[in-house]
Amino acid sequence: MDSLEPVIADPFVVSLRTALGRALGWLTYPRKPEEYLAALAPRHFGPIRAEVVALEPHFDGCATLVLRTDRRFGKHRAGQFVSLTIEIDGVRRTRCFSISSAPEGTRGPRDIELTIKSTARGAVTPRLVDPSIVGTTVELSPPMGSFVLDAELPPRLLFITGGSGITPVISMLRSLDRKAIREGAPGAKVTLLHFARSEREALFLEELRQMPWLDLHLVTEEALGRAPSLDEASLAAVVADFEDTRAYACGPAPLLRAIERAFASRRASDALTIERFQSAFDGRSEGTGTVRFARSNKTANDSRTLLVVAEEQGLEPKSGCRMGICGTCHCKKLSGATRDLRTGEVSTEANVDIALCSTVAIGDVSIDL
Amino acid sequence: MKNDCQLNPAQLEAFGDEMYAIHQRARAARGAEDLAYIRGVMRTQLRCEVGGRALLFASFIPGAWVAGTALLSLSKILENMEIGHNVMHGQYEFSGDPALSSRSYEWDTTCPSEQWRHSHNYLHHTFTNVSGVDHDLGYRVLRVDDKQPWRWHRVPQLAYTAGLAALFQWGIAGHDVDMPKYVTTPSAERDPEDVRRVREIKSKAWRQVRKDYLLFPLLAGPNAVAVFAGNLVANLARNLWSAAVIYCGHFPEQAQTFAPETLEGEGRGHFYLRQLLGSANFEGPRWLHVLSGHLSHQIEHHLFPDVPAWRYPALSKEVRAVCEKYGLPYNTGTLSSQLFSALRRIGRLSLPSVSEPALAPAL
Ligand SMILES: Cc1cc2nc3c(=O)[nH]c(=O)nc-3n(C[C@H](O)[C@H](O)[C@H](O)COP(=O)(O)OP(=O)(O)OC[C@H]3O[C@@H](n4cnc5c(N)ncnc54)[C@H](O)[C@@H]3O)c2cc1C
Ligand code: FES
Repeated sequence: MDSLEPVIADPFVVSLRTALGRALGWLTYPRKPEEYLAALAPRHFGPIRAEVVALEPHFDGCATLVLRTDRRFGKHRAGQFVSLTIEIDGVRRTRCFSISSAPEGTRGPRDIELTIKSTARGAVTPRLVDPSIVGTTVELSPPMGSFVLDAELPPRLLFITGGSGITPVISMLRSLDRKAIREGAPGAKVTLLHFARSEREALFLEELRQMPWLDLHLVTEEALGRAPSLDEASLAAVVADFEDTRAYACGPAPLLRAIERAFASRRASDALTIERFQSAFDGRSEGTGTVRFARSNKTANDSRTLLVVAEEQGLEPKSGCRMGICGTCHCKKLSGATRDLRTGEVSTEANVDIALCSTVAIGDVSIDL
Repeated sequence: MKNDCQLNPAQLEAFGDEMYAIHQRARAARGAEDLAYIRGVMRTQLRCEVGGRALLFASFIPGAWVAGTALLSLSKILENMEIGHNVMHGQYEFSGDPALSSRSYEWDTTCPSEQWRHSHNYLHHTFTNVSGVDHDLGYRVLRVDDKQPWRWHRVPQLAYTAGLAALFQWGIAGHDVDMPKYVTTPSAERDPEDVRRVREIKSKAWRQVRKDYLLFPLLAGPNAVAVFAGNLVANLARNLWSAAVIYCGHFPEQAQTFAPETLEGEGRGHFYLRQLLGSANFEGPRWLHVLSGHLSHQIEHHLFPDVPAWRYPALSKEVRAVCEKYGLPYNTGTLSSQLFSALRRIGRLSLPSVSEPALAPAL
């Protein structure tokens, strides 16, 4: 938790550190002192790193990874996520993953767990759930997100999850279970309504069944013989007065929409907190979307190269050769999916440089211009 | 199209397609290996720099000064040639690693990266060897092309060549500004963009000077003179070496220049052809290629500037095969023969060109 509170330091120490940093910067110019420090002592400087020390498969294409973080990672709060950066075939890719282990983890003090379900044709997840990942070093952000339990535990908690959406919730449940073991009870009446394809694909099922205090409802497509659906009535069948609970939901977008509708119809939207696993990209490799030039606040719907689109909008991006060799037009893409016309490669990464003169948008894109 | 190409239009197009295919394959092959390579070079460079500076501080130990200066020279050469120049071309940008972003990389010379990317990546690489557009044709100081007018002040230009080499980083620093024009224009009439550029150059030059000639010597206390001298020699060594490499790239006798008309409606085939005919390689052991930033493969670099340079030696086999097929020259030789050829050309052009007698009196 300490990583969340800003470290309040003595102003004298701060100004001394700034002055020292600047003087060091004069010596290391044109590089930054951090670059030397990160190269000489990577455990203490540069991005937070973690090594994948184990992989535990759940079912085909789904596994839990154990990551040994370095000292700077800090403690997460149950329900938070990290953004993980990994180099795959020489390309840096960043994705978010909820931490599935409890902050009071059962493993080493610096270990966290991520439970990952691979996405078909995804750029990152298929690699992460492959056993060969063990031993790889990745970069992590500090724990992030506000999908966490309230400081004061409410009398009744309702969790609604679908598929891999259970990952942030299992962290909270594990945390509550530790409390139940310590204090005899978790301190709240807790219900979990979980949707899964089949019992085999219901993550953490054995463990959940071992939590005697948990009111567990599992709905599987397999048992139902059809895709499960959710509305106000079916939710009320599980928890009659669900509007009086403190609710958390995470799962596929249609499920989340249904839950939001159910809570809205009882005017209880405030009781509900949602975590979305949204992906920037729906998998197209053609077509166009809305191009947004973030700094100048202009938008366009245009399938031509981003350089032309920007110029049509009256912007004056720098350009040179206009054929993808000189790099003058390089500019940061803040988010969205683009295709490089030189290589045909699709990029879905956020915050990467692209050549405007040889790139087209294939979805909603935001450019730092 | 001009007579610089012995190919008919269909051949030219086929040649362009073959080069493009090599280019596309090379782009597609970029990956983890390239990152491992450049990061290895960066680690080595960093160690050389830290080690070199440390040895210079300890230069009271016999031999430490020489070793420290050598390491620092090596560090500066690696940083400018194999790392800076190539990273700023975006050769490693495919990785999305911010440390390898062409836009944000600042190299260890007095030349501001942003101006370099304009004058070099854009002007020089797009308009390679086109008279009047590519200022690398003599850097506005030397006459390396018959198409440039001869004047009396060209006569001692072999001496300028040596002087430019010794001060190479300063020549490069002012590369994006027409310095001869700038200094002869009254300050009120100067192009504001040039004024901004010059201010930027001064600011960067000051930081470079502050580091190498002020702070490190001061920090060394009683060793100040030794550190100052070591830094000076390291900068000089880097200047001479990079100048030699660059002179070999486009100045050897057979490297062709082009009239501005060449650019009109220039297609892909002719673009690649111009890069090929305007550039020259030199041969040597692997370490020589690394120290030259693989600009020993200037031809491949000009054909594929966005491909990681350490792959040029392998690509050169494919390029040579295509050249042979189309009966095109592939200009290569030893470092000394290419350098000698470049100097001979500069020497020859210090006198009026016999082929264009009309030029001299008219001007
Ligand atoms: C806060 C948060 C927490 C999260 N927590 C978890 C978690 O705990 N566990 C978990 O498993 N996931 C989690 N996610 C989702 C995760 O971050 C990934 O977005 C997701 O797993 C897909 O990643 P990917 O790289 O494999 O797929 P992507 O490469 O992002 O692909 C997404 C889709 O695009 C398609 N696609 C990609 N490239 C192409 C192409 N070139 N051509 C055609 N189609 C293409 C893929 O088929 C796929 O359908 C979370 C997300 C968020 C925002
Ligand atoms: S303008 Fe030269 S790469 Fe885009």
